[in-house]
Amino acid sequence: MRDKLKIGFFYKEELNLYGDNGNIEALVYRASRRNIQVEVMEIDTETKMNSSNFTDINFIFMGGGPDSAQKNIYKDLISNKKEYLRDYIEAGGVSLFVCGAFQLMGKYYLSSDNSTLEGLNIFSLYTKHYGPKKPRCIGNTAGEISGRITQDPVFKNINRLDNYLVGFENHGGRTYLEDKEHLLSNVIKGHGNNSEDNTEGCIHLNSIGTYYHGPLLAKNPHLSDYLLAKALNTDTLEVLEDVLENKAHTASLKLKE
Amino acid sequence: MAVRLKHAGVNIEERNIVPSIASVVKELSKNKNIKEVIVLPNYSSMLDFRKVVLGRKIL
Repeated sequence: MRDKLKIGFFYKEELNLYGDNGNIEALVYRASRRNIQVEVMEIDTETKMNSSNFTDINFIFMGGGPDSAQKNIYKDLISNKKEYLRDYIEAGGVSLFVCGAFQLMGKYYLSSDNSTLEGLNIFSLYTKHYGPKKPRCIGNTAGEISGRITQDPVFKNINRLDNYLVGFENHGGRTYLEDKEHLLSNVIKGHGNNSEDNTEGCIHLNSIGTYYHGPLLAKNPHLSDYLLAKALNTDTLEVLEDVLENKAHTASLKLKE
Repeated sequence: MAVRLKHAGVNIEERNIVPSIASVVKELSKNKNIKEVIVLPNYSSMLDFRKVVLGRKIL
């Protein structure tokens, strides 16, 4: 087991829609309560990824942002961060990408005017925006977690809640997985990736992409602990008192869309 | 919100957590000594709160 959680927090200032930084707060809280050392490295457009400082990062997070903020970081992401992220993810590094960041991990984003924005091409998916006449995907959402996670012995050992995820989604782009087996959850409530195929999010090795804001990890302590355990390379974590977290999760399951 | 406050080190007693916005407004309106209430909603609860207080979600 690794004795330290070192988080690479990408574009904290630009990509923090709907309090997505709460995902970091949740992870830091859950690690600290267990006396696990935590360090959060903020990585922005000025950060050069060639330092040895980045080699021992064991969790990466990137959230969602408005279009303007995503444009601000896009060039840096493609030019300066792509290689690091690809190497990290393909080596089995643990990471979480929400909304806009989830889309950017895919192959491309096709706008309604047919212009294409290149993605990092790490997740096998693409995103399409059909224009303003197609309603955005907005509302409370819930899904049943993929067997890729629920059947993982680490999750089985860690999970003391249920096999569901809850969150809040707000996206105009529709995302399509090239292989639906890689979904994060099956949609129970809400739009999911595209309002069509009941998929939500994506799993690639130990990395997750999702449209769930909430923040995701605050409302889903079982997923938080799963990612924490994966990052620390362990299958056991001290049990925390999660009365509030579990109530928030269960109440969110009952919310209307 | 209670979870976010917990993570930030603010201890909220469970008896002070009311899960329904309508119930909160009802309870508050019973207490005539309360002159001002500060609301710190997230996006989705802001819409629900507006609906309860103003009758519509979007202004």
